[in-house]
Amino acid sequence: MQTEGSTALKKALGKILGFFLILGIILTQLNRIFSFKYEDGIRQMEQFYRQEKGTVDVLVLGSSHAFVDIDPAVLYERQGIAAYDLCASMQSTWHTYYDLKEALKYQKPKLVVMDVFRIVENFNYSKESKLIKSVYGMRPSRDKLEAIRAGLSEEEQASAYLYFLEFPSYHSRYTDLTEEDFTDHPSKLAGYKGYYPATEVTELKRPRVEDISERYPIEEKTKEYFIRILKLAKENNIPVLLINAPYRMSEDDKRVYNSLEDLLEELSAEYPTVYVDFNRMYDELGLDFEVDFADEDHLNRTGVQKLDSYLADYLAAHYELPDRREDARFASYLCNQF
Amino acid sequence: MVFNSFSFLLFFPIVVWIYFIIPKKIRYIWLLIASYYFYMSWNARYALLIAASTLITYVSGLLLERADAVSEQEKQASLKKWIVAGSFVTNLGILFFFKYFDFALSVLNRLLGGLGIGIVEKPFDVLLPVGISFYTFQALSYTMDVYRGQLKAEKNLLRYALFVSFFPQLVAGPIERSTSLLGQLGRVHEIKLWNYDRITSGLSMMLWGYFMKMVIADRLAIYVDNVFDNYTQYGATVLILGAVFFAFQIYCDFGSYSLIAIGSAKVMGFTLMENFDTPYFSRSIKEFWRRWHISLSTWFRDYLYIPLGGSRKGKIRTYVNLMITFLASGLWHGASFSFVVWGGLHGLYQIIGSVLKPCKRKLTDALRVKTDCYSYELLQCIITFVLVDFAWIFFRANSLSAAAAYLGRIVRHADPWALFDGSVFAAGLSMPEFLVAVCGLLILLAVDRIRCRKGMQLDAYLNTQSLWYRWGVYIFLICSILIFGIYGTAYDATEFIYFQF
Repeated sequence: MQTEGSTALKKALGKILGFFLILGIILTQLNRIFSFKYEDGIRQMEQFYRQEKGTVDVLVLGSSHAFVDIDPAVLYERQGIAAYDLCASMQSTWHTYYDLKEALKYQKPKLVVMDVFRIVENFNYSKESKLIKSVYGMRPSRDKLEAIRAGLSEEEQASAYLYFLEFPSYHSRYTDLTEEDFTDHPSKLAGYKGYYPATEVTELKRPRVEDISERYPIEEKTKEYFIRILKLAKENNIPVLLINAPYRMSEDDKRVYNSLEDLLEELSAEYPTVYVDFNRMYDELGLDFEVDFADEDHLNRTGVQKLDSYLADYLAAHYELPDRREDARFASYLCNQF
Repeated sequence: MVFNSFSFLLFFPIVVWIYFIIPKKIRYIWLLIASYYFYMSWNARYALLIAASTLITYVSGLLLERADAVSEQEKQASLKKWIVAGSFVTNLGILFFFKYFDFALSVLNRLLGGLGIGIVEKPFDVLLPVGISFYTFQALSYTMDVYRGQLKAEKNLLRYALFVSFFPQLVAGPIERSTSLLGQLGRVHEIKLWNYDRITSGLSMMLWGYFMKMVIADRLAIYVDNVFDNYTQYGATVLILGAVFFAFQIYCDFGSYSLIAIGSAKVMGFTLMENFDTPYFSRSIKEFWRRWHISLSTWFRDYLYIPLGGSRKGKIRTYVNLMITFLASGLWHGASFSFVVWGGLHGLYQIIGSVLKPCKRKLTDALRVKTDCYSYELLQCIITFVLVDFAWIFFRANSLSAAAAYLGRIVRHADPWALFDGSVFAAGLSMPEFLVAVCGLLILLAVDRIRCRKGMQLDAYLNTQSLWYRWGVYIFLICSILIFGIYGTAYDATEFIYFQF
């Protein structure tokens, strides 16, 4: 009797296991098809995990100002610098902090370059699309859940698990599916380094904000996470270079940057940080507002070439970054894809 | 904690797992704790109400049994009646206060206003506790069953409390009879928990329930809500479609809850009564009420219609009893005149059906209508559905006047071209969503047809099929729920399409 019972139990367990195995395979494939494939946030993190250990010397953080304006291929070709743009559209500082935290689990960069544009953030939570783009590329972990919580308002905290599971956000994409959703596979992008090119040419007026000396305060939460980024980098002995990539800076933004400069001075003893504002160096960079911008916020390919050539030389001159051009492990930088 | 919430998806496996591993003797205590936790997740204070209802009916049961000891027959009968009356008055009083106080006050004010007397101010806001109509009726059935001698009074207060609060069917039925569920709870220690067929059968019922709720009901609700809230913007085609969709929305919504309740109870080894039996395949209104919300209609039959005299006291009295029962049923569904009219319509349908029965027979004989064929059955089903759906408009509309205006527009604004010019896809569901809804309905009709023909639920039918077919259905349902279910964050695709840096 007992043998019969245990055989039946074994049979039942076998069936259950088989069923969930098949279901798991199908659901994994469905998840792959339905998942968001945005290239302004999610893909940056997904591909970061695919970088061979020890192949990222410079970690570039920030919003689109960083991943559109900093092309690791230019840095590599000019000075042999191995950089990766780990950024997301309109990324708030709290998500930049979690990006850095996540990145340090997999790579040991020698320098962090952070664009400070989102210091002007005036909300203390993220819009849903921004939250998703900043977080969905991350592998499941406690940090990921914390990052989600950090981006949600008080009222939205209860739905954090829905964002953690991800599928509830994109299951209804069946009306938007395209061929790319079925064929797209991360392995196709081995040489991807987080860069996204802007190719349009927009004629802009050069901003005149240098005389503005007023100050608008930095939002408390933004400031808190900005300091946490500096602290985390310091704990890991990684110098931080803050940059402000060229764009049509508004007067209000300038007022917040003035406060940032005050803050950096205040923190200088504890966190000595270099801040290079490229918006004060248009002539030095040779930027032409008639041809070098794709839109009000981003440089196009010619603008990127000018900025990144300068940046590459600057990094080589001021930081001890190895020239990786002869190293076979860094060959993927030669086939930098976007 | 509703069934289609993430909390329940955690709660249920944890409760079942612990239920499976704890000593047999304390299983019912664990289920009681789980049930109260389930109920209190809405509002902890509601637990006081359910506890009060439990205590009143529990004590009334004990008193009824003690009254049996009174030797004088007349005195005994009178005493028992007083006890039953006490239990009913207090329980229905609580129900009335929480569910009908606002309604009664508005009716009173309307009457006083008509007489030119000042308005009575609302002294406080009353919040309707979840499931109060269900558990109150379940508890009252116990009082009646003990009174009628169909059941011995339950001595174990905790076990009785579990009968009133058993979480699978606590907030939306089926309204179980004490003669069935209380007995099963008394034998909970005898239940053989590990039974692969029973567990998979229960889970597949739950799965089908989730499909009905999340894929069909909640999708149709988007269309229905939009059409009923903005009926002045639409012509007859969309309004008829809105009404038809509502018929299926309420069936899938309510039916799914019952299925999940029955399925989850089955996983734990309990058998709950069937609540919906392919109601839209009914060939008459009378049959519809044998198939729709069975636990409630049999409750009204056993505890109201029959005590009123049922059909034993002549035709007129039968019709009066029918109307009283259906008006009460309407009022049970909600505190407004729309529900009363809905109930009244169903009562009226049955009376007219009964009065016209001889005429109908004469007519079919005279015209030599073939009645023993599928086409005649189909016609009967369609006519019944139209009548039921007509009444649903009153049930769903925001007020009586809105229902009248809705029907008025159907009559006055015929626009058959709306079927072809894309207007039907501009009333809340885009074409792909609309197609998903229609496919869902076709699947529902197929499953109901199987049930009607073979007399078996989906789980029983699947058990007659081979493994690949069973698993195929399970996987199809799971994937459909995950992809087409209405849940998750309502993300705005346009926000994503715009490539905002």
